Amino acid sequence: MTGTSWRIGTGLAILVVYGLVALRLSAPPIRPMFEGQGAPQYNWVNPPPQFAPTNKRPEAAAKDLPLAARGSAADVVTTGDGQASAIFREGAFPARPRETAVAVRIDPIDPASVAPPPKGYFHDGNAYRVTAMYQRSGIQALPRTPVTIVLQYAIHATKLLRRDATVWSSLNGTLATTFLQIFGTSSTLGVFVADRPPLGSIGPKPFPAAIVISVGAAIAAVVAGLIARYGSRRRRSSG
Amino acid sequence: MTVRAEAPRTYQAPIAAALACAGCLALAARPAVTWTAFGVTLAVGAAGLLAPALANDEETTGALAWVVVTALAIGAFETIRLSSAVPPMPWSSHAAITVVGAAVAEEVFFRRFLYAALLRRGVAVAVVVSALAFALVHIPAYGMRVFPIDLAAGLVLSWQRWASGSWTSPAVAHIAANLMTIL
Repeated sequence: MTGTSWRIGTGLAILVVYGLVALRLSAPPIRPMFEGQGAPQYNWVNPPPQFAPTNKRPEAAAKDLPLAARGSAADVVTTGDGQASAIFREGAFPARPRETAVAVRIDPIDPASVAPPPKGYFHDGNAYRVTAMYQRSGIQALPRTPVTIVLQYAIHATKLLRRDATVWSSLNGTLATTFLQIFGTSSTLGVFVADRPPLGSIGPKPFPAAIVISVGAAIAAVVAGLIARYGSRRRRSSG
Repeated sequence: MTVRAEAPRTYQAPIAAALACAGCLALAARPAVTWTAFGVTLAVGAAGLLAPALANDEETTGALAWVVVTALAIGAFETIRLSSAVPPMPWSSHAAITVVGAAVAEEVFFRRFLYAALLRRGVAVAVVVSALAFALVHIPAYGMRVFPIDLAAGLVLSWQRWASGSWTSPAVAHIAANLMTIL
């Protein structure tokens, strides 16, 4: 093989490996690559006083999932501000005679209007009611496969909860702290909320040590870069 | 991959090693979702830019190779993005500045500086080790779960560096991949 074809061939092999790894990890959610980015401001239904002056009304979502013989199509329903999403697998809702679609809605609600949080916890953002009904008949649509619920939280959520009759049920949520998101799968739709423990009990903040190490190492890296540049110039000029 | 480059002639290997270690430590210890983390990332990128480019570190490739390699990588990232049912992060100027700046800074460090510093040990070592370092520094902020995908993405980016002969090709692909998370 020539150098060029060797490079392209190697690259194609690496791209295939990347694709297999990414697709293998595609559920639960994954992005092409993870990168640091700031979290957007949280929009509250009922904001705490300190956030009230800048608060914006949280957005809802509504989407129709087309029905085929095998059921509904795979799709994601996301609120306009990205604070809540529901990910439905293919066939999540079974087909019904004369029905062509399932209408899914996600509505933000004040969690205090639903129920108090479990003992020792605090609601960390809005609750979201996820509902689905067959478009023509208005009959409630029940998912037959787990639905992935993704909620953005406000401060430091550790639990994803679903309201079941008179209790909050934990969904064994997974945290994506960089994006201030928590996600988990649920066998039913309903009302979901992210909860956190008291802020004082979260434990020592990673701030001081992490910041000192990170900034110190960054400064050391810059100094090393300057030394490398200065040393290189000096050798060139003396040579 | 048997191409070997000459040892770095423009500055001492211990300085390069110190820069590599300090840069990786800074990136690994950076806190998530803060302007401080963004500043640390930019500083590490600046350090990678300060280190003189290693002359004659590899054979030169043409503009066509650069375009093909960049397009292949962006196509792969876009394919995965479209096939993944992940809602995008809400768009904001802050998010856009951060993902673009972080992408360029990381590519300057990993593909311009670190790759070139490793190249005297062979292309395979340069590609694999720079990709491995890229994946490892992301674990503290994102969790072990991202290691496989970041290692695979790092291999794509390091391969771009080799196949295109320039760190700008992986930088462009990295920017595109990051922007896909908010578009």
